Amino acid sequence: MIKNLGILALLVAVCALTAWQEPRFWSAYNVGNTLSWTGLHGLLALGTAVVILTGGIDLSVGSVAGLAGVMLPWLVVRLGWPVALALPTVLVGSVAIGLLHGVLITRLRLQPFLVTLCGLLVCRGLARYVTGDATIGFREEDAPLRSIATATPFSVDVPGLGAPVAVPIAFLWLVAFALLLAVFLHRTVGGRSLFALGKNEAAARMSGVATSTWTVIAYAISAGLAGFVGVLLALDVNSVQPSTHAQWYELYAIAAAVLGGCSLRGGELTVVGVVLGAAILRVLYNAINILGIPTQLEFAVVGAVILVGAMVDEGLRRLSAR
Amino acid sequence: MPFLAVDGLSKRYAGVVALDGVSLHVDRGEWLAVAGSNGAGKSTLMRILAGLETRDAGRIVLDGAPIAARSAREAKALGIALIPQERSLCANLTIEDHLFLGRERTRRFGFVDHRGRRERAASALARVELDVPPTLSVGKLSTGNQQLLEIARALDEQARVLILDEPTSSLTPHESERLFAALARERERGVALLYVSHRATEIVAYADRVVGLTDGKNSGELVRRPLATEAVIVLMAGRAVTRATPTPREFGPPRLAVEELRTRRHAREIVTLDIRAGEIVGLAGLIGAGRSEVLRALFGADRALGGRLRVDGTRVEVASPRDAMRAGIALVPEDRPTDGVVQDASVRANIGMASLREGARRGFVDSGAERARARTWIERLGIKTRSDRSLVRKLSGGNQQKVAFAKWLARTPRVLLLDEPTRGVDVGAKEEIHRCIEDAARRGAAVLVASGELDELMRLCDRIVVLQRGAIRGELARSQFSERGILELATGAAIAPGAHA
Repeated sequence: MIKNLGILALLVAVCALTAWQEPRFWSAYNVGNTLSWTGLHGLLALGTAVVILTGGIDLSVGSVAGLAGVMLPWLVVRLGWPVALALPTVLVGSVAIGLLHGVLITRLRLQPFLVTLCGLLVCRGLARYVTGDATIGFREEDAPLRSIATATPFSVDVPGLGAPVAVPIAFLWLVAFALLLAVFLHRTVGGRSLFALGKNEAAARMSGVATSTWTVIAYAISAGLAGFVGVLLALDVNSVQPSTHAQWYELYAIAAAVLGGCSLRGGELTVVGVVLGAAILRVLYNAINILGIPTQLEFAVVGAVILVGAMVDEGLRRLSAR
Repeated sequence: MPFLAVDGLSKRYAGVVALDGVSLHVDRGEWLAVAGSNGAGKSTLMRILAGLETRDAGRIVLDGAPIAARSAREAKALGIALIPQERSLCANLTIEDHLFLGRERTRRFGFVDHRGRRERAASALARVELDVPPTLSVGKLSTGNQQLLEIARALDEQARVLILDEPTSSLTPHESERLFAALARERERGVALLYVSHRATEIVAYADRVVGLTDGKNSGELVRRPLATEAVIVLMAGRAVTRATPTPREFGPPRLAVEELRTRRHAREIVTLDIRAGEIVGLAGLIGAGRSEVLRALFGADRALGGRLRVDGTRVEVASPRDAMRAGIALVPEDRPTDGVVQDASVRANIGMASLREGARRGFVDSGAERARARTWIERLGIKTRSDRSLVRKLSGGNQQKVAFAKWLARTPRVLLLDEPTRGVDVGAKEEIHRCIEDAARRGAAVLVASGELDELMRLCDRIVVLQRGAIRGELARSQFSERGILELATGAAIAPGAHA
């Protein structure tokens, strides 16, 4: 919990600094927009964090999101599938990719890095091949479907913003999944099993924990959330470029998880921390745009902030170990 | 003036006192044993001397000059070498590579001097009478020989003080003797030996002097000629240890029946044995005789190649630990930090780890029951921990082992398999663990204990089965127990009386 206070302080500091430099940051439109992007990236980061909890890594989430985001309009628009069939197919297919990753890692004992790197390449390649690399979008009559990504179910009055903030549904999805995941991780046999195997797989297995099963499920959760985010993103932007849809998002997801307190060695995860980590990355991105910092610098700024965060974190850890 | 003198050494970790003004000295050619229970501060003392930790207060004087080593490298340069308990050798390096790792002998331009290092390696190995080619890979050496190799390296680095942390904990009796012979030779040459062990018999046999530590303070000293075993044990435990005479147990019907079990390590040999309810059977044998392999196969930790298993007359198939648990079989494994406990999880989580599914409703863990279970077992086994939420890592070895026990006792196992149940555990905790093994048997468990410590088996067991190279060579009833008898079966050779004291 103390750890999360540190990252919360960092988030507040970045927000305050940006708002001080550029009042437009603190506007109803910008806050709503940032919440929406935080929702999408937060969902990806939570899935990735569950894999990192097991001591593994998932590099494929950006490509899985890309493939899912391409497949939905392709099935609905090009092949004319009904939405009620196409959406479940895409989501189940995403979960299946995760299951495949997990099975390759646990049964064939392949390295998670290698398996999910291949997943990254294969999914991106498939997405581009299926569509012939052409941009694809939805039709007028798909508006009801698009509302699961674009709706703003209610507004909240925040003093000082001028207008009420329309809370974006993507952020609500994040809140809902974060709550579900927190309950799963801390209250269920599965969650306990994931923590135990992440901290020490051999000892967990020797205690009768179904380590392989839960590892596979972790990859399925990650890929399933990635597929869902890919769909939301496609419905939101309504113009899906197979070669760049959700490209490199796995790096943001891993960065958010690590910034949020996950150890790449496994065994550590706080849901709140990961969500805050994702929020910091989005606010940084937003700040770079809004403050007129050259966007070419984006990666450099994000990298530097993560590095400083990691250094401060390690310093605090050493202090508290004394 | 003593060669190495430590005066008023103190050290705290996160507010916990590890050492509180410890003083001791050791002379050239002296063999000093350091005794004390887990958590008494022995490891901290050794780590400070070896430069792995810094002290908070106190003086260390070596050969008349005060020293303050800040790294293992600096300590080595001063002539102080630590031979750790857990050896960190790289299995695929050759012996020669290992000897010169990090201090490569080079010619001009940084080229490795192959001929020079070969000759020097040969002489270093000869000094500890290790008769193996320097080009052999380290992984092919037995544990005992790896230990000797470490000592050879330390001596080649001109060590004048050798610190040994439980050097014999995983050696066979024969290997231990070779180690002690090598150490005795170095003592003659004037090397100072600082030696930590939980084995009172070794201290009695070899040490010139024993210094006792309790709770980070000096608690007494015994000088040789002769050292009395009982007095050494009291010094080690920091208190008098009462050895309760076990009350006789009633044996029930056969609980565990193993027929023609074959393990991967000894694929051609079969193991057949029966254990009755309430019976404690020992599994003896030299290192590599296949004791752990039998236990791990019975628990499904490793796949057995063949064999049939019955619990209470019912045939069970065991392909994984979960299968074994369903049949009421439990294993407290040998390697506590990697297999026995999750060190970075809480005591409560560890005790509950094997019972996650038991109290669960629709996949939800019953946290209340988990907390109650943890508290019950902490009290019943006398686990010393600040709270049930403390990390297991913070506990001493003996208390960690009790956590590993509690995890399984909480399931009231029908068959309890124990692999080296008291390795690295102090005398007091050992006694308590023995009592809890007897207790489990009295409640009807069939217990199978593998141990390299014969006195432990002879004290604890109703019957001892002796393995040699994966096969049962014989069985001794309690009335027939003798160290010599067991070793004869274990080595397959007749042993002259007195060869193993």
